[in-house]
Amino acid sequence: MKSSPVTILIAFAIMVGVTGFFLGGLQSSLKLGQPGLKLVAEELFDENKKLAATNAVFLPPQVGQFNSTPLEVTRMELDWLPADTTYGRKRYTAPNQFVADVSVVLMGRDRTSIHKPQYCLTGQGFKIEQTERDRLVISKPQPYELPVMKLTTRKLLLHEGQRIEAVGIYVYWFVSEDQLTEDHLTRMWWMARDMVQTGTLKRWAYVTVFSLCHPGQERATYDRMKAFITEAVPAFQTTAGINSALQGTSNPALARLP
Amino acid sequence: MTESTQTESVASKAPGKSWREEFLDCLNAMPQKGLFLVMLSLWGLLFHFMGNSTLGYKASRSLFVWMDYAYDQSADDSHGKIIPLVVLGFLWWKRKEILDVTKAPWWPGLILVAIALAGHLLGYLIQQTRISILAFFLGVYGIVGAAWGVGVLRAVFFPFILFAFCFPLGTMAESLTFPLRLIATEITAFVAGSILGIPIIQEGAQIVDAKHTFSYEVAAACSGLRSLTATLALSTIYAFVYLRVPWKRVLMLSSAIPLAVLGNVFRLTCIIVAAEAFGQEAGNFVHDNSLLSMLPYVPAIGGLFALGWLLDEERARKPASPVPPEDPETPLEPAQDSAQS
Repeated sequence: MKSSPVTILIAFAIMVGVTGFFLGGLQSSLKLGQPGLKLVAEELFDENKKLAATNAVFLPPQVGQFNSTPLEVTRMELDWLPADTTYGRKRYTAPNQFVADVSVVLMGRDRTSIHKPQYCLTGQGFKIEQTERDRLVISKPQPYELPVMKLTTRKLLLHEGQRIEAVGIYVYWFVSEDQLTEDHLTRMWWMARDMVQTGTLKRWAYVTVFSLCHPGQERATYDRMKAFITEAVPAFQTTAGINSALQGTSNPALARLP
Repeated sequence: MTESTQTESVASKAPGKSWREEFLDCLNAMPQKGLFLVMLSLWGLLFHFMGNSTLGYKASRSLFVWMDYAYDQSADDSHGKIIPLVVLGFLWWKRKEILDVTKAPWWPGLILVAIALAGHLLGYLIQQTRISILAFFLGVYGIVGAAWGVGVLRAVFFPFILFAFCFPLGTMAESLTFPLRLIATEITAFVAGSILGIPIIQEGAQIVDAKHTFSYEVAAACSGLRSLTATLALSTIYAFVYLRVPWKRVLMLSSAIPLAVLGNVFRLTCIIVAAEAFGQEAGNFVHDNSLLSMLPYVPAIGGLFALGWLLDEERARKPASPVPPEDPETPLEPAQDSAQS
């Protein structure tokens, strides 16, 4: 089949030009979704006590009997993650010294803020021993089930000159303005689907709650974490699941709260 | 000069030509170089200025900057930088075949370009740069077709397949490497425990000896991905260069996974034997030594060549020993294959 080189070149240039023009407009026309968490004007610092951000994901100063202290955002995270990433980080301590660290990473216009947590944990030296899905019942603003992933991890820690084995219970979930999932691939799929179908980049956040304990105390620690999470979530998360009374119906919509 | 006479003049070049002269001859024999270069340049510009929509770890719109970054991030992906050179090498190796086919602009090549553009649009829209990488190479293949036609597309198909090894797997490889870690650990534990009689305990991807004098975890880096990639690349080259029958090619490609696992089992067993005989430090030496880290490639490459020998089509056609004709008066007829060779 004979084809004219000039015709081919013109057709090719038009195809590439139109695509380039379209791509140029795509970034600016991309609609950014709303966060599924409350935001607040609050200063966050890095490990060198340098100001890292002036806005943050709101985490309540007190959850039940737990008091909070700020946790730093590491310089490595700040340097690596996209500049418009928003963080929330606090350590909650109960009167009996039970500690739960809460960390939130909220993406901006770039999806690379959010990662599969398994790799970050492994990178920090934790060996993941067990991965389980769970659903926590949140009572406010209406009863609903929060899907979470629970990782049981193990790590050797240096404590007073001795190496001791510690168990880390790591609970996480992902939340957008109207979606909740504990599954990384589901989040990836929903994000791609929403971008193609609506041109909306959902602003996903990755919420983690982490506690350390001695081997053998895994179940008790997780029970305490569940109690903490069910009490804390209504205070900072604006996206709620459907009323648990409606679970099992075909309507998968989630409620976005004012 | 017509295209056919151009190619003939190169194909039947005088012996003793320098590499440079031969290269220039090949270049002169290729028509539509301008068309190809302009299209390739426009293609490159598109992917340089609008090739990456993620502005996270590497804040650049360039696909090439992102690829360079991805290769630097993972040693398992670092070979991606040399693959284009390997492809060029194979294009040079196949130059006679490429020059021999009829070349003419062929507009259906633009269909491949259009598919590639659609892929890139999707990758850009959903912030998945890896999709754009596939689109980029598919587009280059389409440009080759548009500039020179379907004959050249067929001739360069195999070298272009090798561009698949430019795809940075990154953390996506975990889903493949984790089962490999477990398989390699289980086989190693069986070999060490049941065959060699070394008392060891296997827990997941960890191996410890019964006295707890040494312990090893088959870490992600030892999962075999690197040797799997290398073995897969070698088996791909072997399959396309030496084999013609499709099922033999598929068999050769499929052999890469078990051979890579075999290679890793061999290496892990060597580490355990050294640790058992001389202590953990000796095991660490076998693990860390750069020369000994090549151990997985010994059974892998050996296995590839053994399989290649078994599947060798030329060898299968040759008789084991020449059989004289029963009647000395009857002349031997030349075999069909020997006439070809």
